[in-house]
Formats: sequence, C-alpha cells, structure tokens
Amino acid sequence: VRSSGGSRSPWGAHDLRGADGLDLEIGPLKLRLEERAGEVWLARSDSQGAAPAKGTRWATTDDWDGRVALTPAFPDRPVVVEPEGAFWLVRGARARIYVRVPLWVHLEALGQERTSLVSVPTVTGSDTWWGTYEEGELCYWFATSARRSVEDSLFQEHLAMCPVQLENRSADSLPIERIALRVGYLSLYSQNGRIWADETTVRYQGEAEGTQLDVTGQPPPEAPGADLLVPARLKTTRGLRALTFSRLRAVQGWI
Amino acid sequence: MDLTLLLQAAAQAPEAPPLADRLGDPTAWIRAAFLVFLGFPLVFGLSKVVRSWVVRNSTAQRGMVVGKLLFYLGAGIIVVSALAELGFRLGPLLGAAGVLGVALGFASQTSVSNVISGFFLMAEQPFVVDDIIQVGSTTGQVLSIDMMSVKLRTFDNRFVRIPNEIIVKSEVTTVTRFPIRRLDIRVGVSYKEDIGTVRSVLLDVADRNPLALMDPEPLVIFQGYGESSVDLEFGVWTTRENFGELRDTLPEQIKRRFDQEGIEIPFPHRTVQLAADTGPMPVHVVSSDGNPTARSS
Repeated sequence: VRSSGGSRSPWGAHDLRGADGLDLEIGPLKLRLEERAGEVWLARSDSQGAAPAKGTRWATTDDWDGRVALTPAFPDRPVVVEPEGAFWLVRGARARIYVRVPLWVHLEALGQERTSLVSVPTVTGSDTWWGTYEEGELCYWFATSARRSVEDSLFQEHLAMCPVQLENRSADSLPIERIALRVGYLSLYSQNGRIWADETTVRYQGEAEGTQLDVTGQPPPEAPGADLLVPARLKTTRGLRALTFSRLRAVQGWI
Repeated sequence: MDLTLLLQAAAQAPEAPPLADRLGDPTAWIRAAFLVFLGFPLVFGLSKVVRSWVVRNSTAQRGMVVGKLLFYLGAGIIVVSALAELGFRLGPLLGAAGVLGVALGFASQTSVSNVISGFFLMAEQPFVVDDIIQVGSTTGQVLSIDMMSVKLRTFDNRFVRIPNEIIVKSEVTTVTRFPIRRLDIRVGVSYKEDIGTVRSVLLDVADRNPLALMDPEPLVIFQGYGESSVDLEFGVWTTRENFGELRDTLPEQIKRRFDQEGIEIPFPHRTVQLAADTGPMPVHVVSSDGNPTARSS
C-alpha cells in the first residue's frame, strides 16, 4: 500500500482540511481525495498510469470534522475461485487451501458520527453465476487461484488471505474445480501489515446432504494474535449450509 | 323431537315484517345506508392494509390475490346484509339468482370463461406481477392479474389488456422467470477465415465484456456452411437485468474486434458463369467522370 506521501498505510483516518488533496494507491486502485467547500471529493482510477477518471462528491453535515476513514472490506457478493490446478479430494481426505481475495475500500466521513459514503473495489471482478439455471446467486470471479501453501510473496496490501479447510466426508471422491467463498461471513484481521480472514471449514457430506460451513470467528493459526480490523458483515448460524463445490455443467441445446 | 313439534315451532316463530313495510320504513333505509357507506370504505381500507402486509412479507402477486379476495368477500357480506335490512330474504333471492345465473351463464360464456381462466392463472402462476411476458406478438410487464384479464405495460408504454381465456389458450413466454439468460448471436464469417481463430476472438470479446458471465461459459457453435459465409452461433450468458444492455453492446464489440483482427463479415456473393454456347457478355468501361470510354465485347 502506498500513498503519495510515502509508505504510510491508506487504512485509517486522514485529514483532508488544509492538505492539498490526498493521493493513495491501494493495489491497482488509485484514489484522490479532496475537501472542497465542505464537500468530500473522490476521484478514482483502476488502471496504472491513467488519470483518475471517475469523480464523485458528497455534501456532508455540519458535524463533519474534515477527516475521512478508509477501511478494508470484503466484496459485497460471494467470490468464486479456481485452485491452481483442479484436483480430487478422496473420501475422508482433508486439504487446506489459501485464497487471496481482492478487498474493497470503504470510505466514511468522520465527525461525532461516522457517515458511510461509498465502497469501491480495488480490483473489479467479473460476474459469474453459482447455482443452477433456475436459481442461484451472482458472484464475483477473480483470476486469483487458490493455493496449497502460503509464501511471503503472496501477500499484497489490497488482498486478504483466506484459509479454507476442505473436508470430504462423503462416500465418493470430490473434484475440486471451483470454489465459492462466502466472504460475507468472514472478518478481517491484521498482523504485521498482512491482512488475513478467519478460517473457513467446508465439510462436504455428499450430494444429497450438501456442504456445511464453519467459520471460526478468530484469526487463523498462521496469524496468531492478529488484530481484528473489520468484523464479519453477516452472522454465521450454526450448521450453515451452502453450495460450495457444485457448478454449472455443459450446456443444454441449441435451436 | 317429533317432526310436527318442529313444524309448529317454526310456524310460531316471529316473522319479519313484510318487504313492502320494510321498504317504507326509513330506519331500515338508514341502517342499510349505514352498512354500505361505512362498510365499503372499511373493507377497502382493510384489504389494502392486508395486501401491503402480504406484499412486504411475501410477494406482490400473493398480496394482490389476498387483497382482492378479501375485498370481494367483504363487499358480498355488506351487500347481503344491506339487502337483509331492507327485508329482502336471502333464500328466495338465491333461488332467483340460480335461475338468473343459468340465463346469464348462457349469455356470458366468455366472461365466465375469463373468470375461471383467471382462477387457473392465479393457481398455476405461470407468471406473477412485475414479470415480463410475451403473448403472441405482445411483450410487456405484468401490471395486474385480475378476474377477467391480465394487464400489461409494453416497453413503449402502452397499456394492453389481454383476456384470461386467451392467455390460458395461448403459448405464453415468461421472459423473467429465471435469473440468467443466454444471448444468442448468429455470426457469419468469410470462408477464408480460420474458424479456430474466429472462435478464440469471440470468446475473448465475451471475456472482456463486464456484463457476460464467466460461468455458464460462453459458447461458439458451428451452425453450417451458408451461401456466402460460415455461420456460427455465439451464445453468451448474462443476468436477466443485464440482458438488454448486453444485446446492445455485444454486436458492436464483435464488429469492432473483427475489424481489428481483419476478420471479414462477408456480403452475399454471386458467381455468374456463362455457358459455352452463349455469346460474350458486353462490358462497358466507364471513366471516373462517368463518360463511356470504351466498349468491349
């Protein structure tokens, strides 16, 4: 994460009054924030080297003290990723994978109260469908791949590392081709500038029984003592079930 | 109890004043008017409140059905009660209504058919309020499903009333039934083009379009050798909300990309060959200013 002023983290509070605007780079996303006549101005660009193209402004309340806060957030939909290479999870097997999910930037105006302004993605994901042709949910597709191990070079400031523990409790082998990660149930934690999500355990119990999801609600073992940055948007219920592995198969007919 | 005792008790029961007396009684009229003027707004308001509650907690379609049922039921009770206040007896009225019903039934078969079809539509629910449907040549958004007809708003903002009977008898397409749709575009390319390259270019166009879904994956299917082109079908999935915008943007992007890649979308070609025993074809050579310069044969 880089700002125009140096290596200062973009997350947290920034004072816009008296400053000549604030330029921030969060991964491929470039932001410019200004205070003009009591308004917050935001311009953004997600392509390297291009001038900020999209501008938005907000008239604030008298309560606004000239500061804004930027907090990381997960995308507003589930995320679908592929493993580095499709593999089979045999009956009774476990596998741990790590998924890097591009974060969104949540902008708030500060005062006596925090006023939510906008959330912008650091990386714009493609739309993809998860479910059947009759029902399902719209998800984001990112080119990132799920890996079997973690390396230092994988950590970037605009990405959250999500550990996922897969368990196959069905009687058959399970092909792992694509995985839908329900990021709304995950919290964000920070440790030494690295952003982690809590661990998700996915237990596949068979085609009829479905999949059970468990979210620990704590930093993963890889990041002991990490600080909570942002709590989960959705509350997990005991025995949460969701379609995690299935995907649409080949199509259908042509007329 | 003996049957004769029952008959005697019925005969001794106090009888309501005759109809003529009740009609002349101003208090009966006041009571009937009171029922009508107070009852109808009450039932109307109640049905609206219940409808809103059902819409909030269920669907717009169910809200509409429950609201209408409640209103018709309440209105029927008010009318019967008001008539009873005026001395009309329900039994003879119903008897007369039965006879009248047979006569009216013959006279209004279409209306009755529409009403019954309306019940089928509400029960089967091939579409609900706010869906976009196509009936024959008419496509529009469903505004309401009533006892007699379905009301549509077309995309150019016309109001269309389609009798329920026609909808039950016709093929109806519910465009917005499923959350995702496939846009099929027929693409013809020149015979000199490599089909594999064309396929890659089309898939890349879909990949770059933010409205196209990654999964289900876009497809390119060979359709046949046309008169002037190799015909391919390009199918791209999108959400039903984005379908219109994709249909508007994708053909333009295909054309632009084909132009960049030098892929030809051919015009119809005709090769004319002269038979051996026909004479030579006359050819006029015209200069750039339009004047004939030479004639050849």
